[in-house]
Amino acid sequence: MDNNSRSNEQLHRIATDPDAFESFYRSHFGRVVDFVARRCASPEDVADIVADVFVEAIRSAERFDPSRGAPFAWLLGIASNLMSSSWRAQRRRRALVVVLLGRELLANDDYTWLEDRIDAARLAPVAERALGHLSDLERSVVELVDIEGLSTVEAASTLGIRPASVRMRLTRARRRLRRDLDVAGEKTLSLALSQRGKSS
Amino acid sequence: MNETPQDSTTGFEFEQRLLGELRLLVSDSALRRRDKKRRQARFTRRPALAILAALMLLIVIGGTVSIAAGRLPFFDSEKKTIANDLAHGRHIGPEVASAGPWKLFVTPSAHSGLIAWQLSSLEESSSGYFRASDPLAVSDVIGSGGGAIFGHVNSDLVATLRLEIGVERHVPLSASGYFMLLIEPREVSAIAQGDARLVALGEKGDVVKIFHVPKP
Repeated sequence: MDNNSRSNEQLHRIATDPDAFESFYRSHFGRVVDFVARRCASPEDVADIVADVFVEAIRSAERFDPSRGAPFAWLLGIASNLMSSSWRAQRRRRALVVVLLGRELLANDDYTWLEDRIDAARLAPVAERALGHLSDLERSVVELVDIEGLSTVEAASTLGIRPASVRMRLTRARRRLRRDLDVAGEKTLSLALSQRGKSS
Repeated sequence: MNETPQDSTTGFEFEQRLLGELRLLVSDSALRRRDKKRRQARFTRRPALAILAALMLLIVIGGTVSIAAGRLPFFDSEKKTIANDLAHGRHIGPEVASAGPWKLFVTPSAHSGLIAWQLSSLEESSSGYFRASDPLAVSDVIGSGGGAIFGHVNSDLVATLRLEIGVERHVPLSASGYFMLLIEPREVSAIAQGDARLVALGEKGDVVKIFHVPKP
């Protein structure tokens, strides 16, 4: 059995086997926190979304389809959905009945730790501003492909759209980012994006 | 895709606490899944039982209906014959008992479990049914000028009958189990008040059954 098969089998068991879940959780917790921290301003929001990501993973583990991407890409897809604007309103409603709220689990030390993670995950302020001009979907595409290193196919399955749509949105998003960074005088970042665009 | 190990930070407890809560959630959802599967298993077995029960019910109902359907035409024809006899002033069957001006005629139904009776005098006629399976069936025809009580005994334990109506009167019982007794005008009020009793006696004079004569 190869690593992928083992990983997929483990993923199907996370909803029913606490030990399998712990192993899965420990493998991905840090990167999920970093991914979420990049989009959230407060430790409470990071904690809530990270908790929700894993709750959702437990709920939908049986529906995980390995042909559509690796488990980590699947987790990022859940996180992207939870952080998208259309989900924020739903999250507020769900918060009334949600099983687990991350912020309730936060201690004083955790606030400090998460604030550090948010600062570390944050891009340069000019890049943050440029990303802020993108739509939710374009921003997710850039984050998944250019920052998290997923392939366009994995990003497509993560976001539930076609790979061609991912490529189109990625091209458009990079073009806008380059333009905003050029205007801001960030030649280095703009050049980095140009090189990424050529290589992908 | 690159998997980087997470940083370890002293004093960071969130990961651990969240893990603890999520492990509980997994255990809980695993339990609920097992319960759900068990319920589904029970549910899938249930239709088979329901179908079996429905089939048995259909067989019972079908059998009853077909038997009843087979009996009804016979019973209907018997009733028509009796009604026809009564309408034409004929007797419905053989005379089985008599007392004073009254004569009792009966015809047992082969299909309904009933015995049709006809009580006739020169002046009037009355008819009805006894249930053949009853050990003792009693009826009466009472007027201000007197009347008669009559009935049928269907029990080997009963050898004779005694009417208790203020005084005790012996009731003659025919070999075929029918009886009839005249009621005097002075006895009518006792019957009307439900004070008359018919006592079935065994061969040694022991009481087998006490039957209250129905009020007219």
